[in-house]
Amino acid sequence: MLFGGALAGPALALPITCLLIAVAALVAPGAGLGSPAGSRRAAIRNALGGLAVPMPEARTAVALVALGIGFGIPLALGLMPGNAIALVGAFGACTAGHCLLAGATGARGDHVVESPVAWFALLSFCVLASALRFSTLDLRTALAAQAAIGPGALGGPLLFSAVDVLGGLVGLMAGAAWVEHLPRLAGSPQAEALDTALRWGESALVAAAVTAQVWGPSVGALLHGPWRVLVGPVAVSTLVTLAAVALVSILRSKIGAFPARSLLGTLAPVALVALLAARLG
Amino acid sequence: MNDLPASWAPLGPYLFVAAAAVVVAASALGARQRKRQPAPPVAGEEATRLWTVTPPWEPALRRAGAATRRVSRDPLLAALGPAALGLTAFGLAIGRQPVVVFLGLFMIPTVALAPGVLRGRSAPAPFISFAASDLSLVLGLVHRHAATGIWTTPAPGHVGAGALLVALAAGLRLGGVAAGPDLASLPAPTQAGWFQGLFLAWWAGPSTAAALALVAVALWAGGVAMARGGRQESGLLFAGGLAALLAGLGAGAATLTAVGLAGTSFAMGDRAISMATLGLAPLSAPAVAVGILPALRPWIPAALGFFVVAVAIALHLLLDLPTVRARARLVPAGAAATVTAVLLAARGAETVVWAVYGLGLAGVVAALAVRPANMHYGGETPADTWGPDEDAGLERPGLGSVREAALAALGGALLVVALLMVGQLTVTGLRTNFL
Repeated sequence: MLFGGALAGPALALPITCLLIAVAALVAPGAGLGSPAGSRRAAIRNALGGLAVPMPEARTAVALVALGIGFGIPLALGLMPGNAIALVGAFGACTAGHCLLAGATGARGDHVVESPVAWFALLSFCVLASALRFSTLDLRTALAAQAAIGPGALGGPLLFSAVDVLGGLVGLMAGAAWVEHLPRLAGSPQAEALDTALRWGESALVAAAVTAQVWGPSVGALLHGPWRVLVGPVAVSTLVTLAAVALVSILRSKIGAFPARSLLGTLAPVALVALLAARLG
Repeated sequence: MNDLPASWAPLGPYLFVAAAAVVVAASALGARQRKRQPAPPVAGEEATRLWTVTPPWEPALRRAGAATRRVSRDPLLAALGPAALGLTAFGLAIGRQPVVVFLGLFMIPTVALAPGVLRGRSAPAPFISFAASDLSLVLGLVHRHAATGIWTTPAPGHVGAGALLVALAAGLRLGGVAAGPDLASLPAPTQAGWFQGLFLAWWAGPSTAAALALVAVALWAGGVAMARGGRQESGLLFAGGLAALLAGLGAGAATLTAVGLAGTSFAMGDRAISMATLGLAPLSAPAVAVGILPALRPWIPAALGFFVVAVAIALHLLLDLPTVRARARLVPAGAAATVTAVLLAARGAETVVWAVYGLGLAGVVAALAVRPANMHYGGETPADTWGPDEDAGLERPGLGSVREAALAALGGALLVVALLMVGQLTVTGLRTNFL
């Protein structure tokens, strides 16, 4: 492939990533920041203002999170070739980078709420199971198969649609819990602002990863199919993804208020059985 | 980053040798640096140093001179060098199948360990493990070459016992490295054994997939236990488990070399680059990537389930490990990054563009977000300085409680069951095959 053709993916990936993060920032819980737009601007300014971290690998740790978000969103949307394991790797990169930074900035006590490992595992399960429904781990193949079935609750066999919706909801809830339970960066306004900004990106990543496999065709389809035909469905699926980003951000603020663990403990096995039902028949 | 192009396949074995050389050199340099005592500060010295101009090649010449003197003084190193060179030359001279090179090179660490054991200065466990590995390897190689006569291409149906022996050798080799009391206290040549173990895993490949998957699970279990004890070598065990799994899935030599360098880098203390490489590594398992499911083996989903859970646990347990304060620790990390970059470039224009996009984006964000003036190498992070009093009653990142661990285990179990069932096994299949 020539470089010109290869450039199309990143050229689409950058604006869609910025758009998803912007929506996450607009709807994100405003604890510690205040809700006005001025606070968001201040958060961005502080986040990019040069945090002093007493750790030699601090830049690499930030880069790890940025890499996870920067690669994860195009992967999830089918813009970049890859498989579901790589998407799990993106979650892992975000987790590792965030924990490294939190350890270096001395986050502890009431800032460290709970371990994100359980939520990471559940989120990974959702992503892998969604792809494996189509007997593949390749994300582009899974997205193409999903687009052929139809968008989520509106198309396809009834059982499949129910599975999509249930799996999507569990995935979004697990994702919101994962984002919220990552250890917090603390110690300075820059650290808190960087933490907030990273969480915006991670919320966008979660929403894209879960929703794209439930409601297609995603933006990546434009690279491979007739764009005149696809532009309408792609616009609708993009709106659904944006709504999912907003939902994750809203869920994040509610995580502490409802018994998420009990709810997920009930829903996850149901979703599991439902996801497998088509195969068990 | 799947693998090197097919035409480069004969270079595969030499990648392991080159990686072992990098690691040995880095550990030797690191050991030298740790031994060197810092000179007391002299008033005005810093200001003088700022204005002193030295030619850029001077440090390299100084190091080369010191290394040469050290090699010439150390009889063991002096003997091993020509032996390795001779074996390499002989192996190259006899053709494209460097069996002799590898048989010889594999035995060098065992020989290097022998004097210490015989004099009662070191524990016999690594020596016994390495010797058993050598024996298994010789038997496996003899069997495999008698069956196929081809270095890299096994003949299906004729390699069962030989491949199992090679997998056993790989497990013993990896276990031997971990059995040592302290990685830094072992002679440098034994660290090459790590790459020999990886080579064995790669060579055994998919034909011993089940054995390699079991080895991977065992290594991860050991890694969790060691990381709980705060031992640096747990990084090697996690990387070894990942490499064994990838080898079972059919990953190529270059990928396993990158994983090996990342594992060594983990043990030497540069965690961030290592984690990035280990995170990227699953991308390279070609059997996982595309088209495996029609030929899915029953153990693969379970192994993948273990992989995801183990990575999640490892990421958290490894973060609190102390860092080795040596400048040479960056060498394996740099080599891992270089090999990964070469792999990306070999994959074609689209991969290169995506790599530039991702790394560029991450680099810009990291450069903006973190100020370099406050990054001091060798300094302790606030988390490192926590004492027992400060820790009392406070929660730290990681598996904080039994409840969290149980939840993670439950999630992992669900994942394993889901992958097992979604993969290819139906309820009937499960009943038939397992119940």
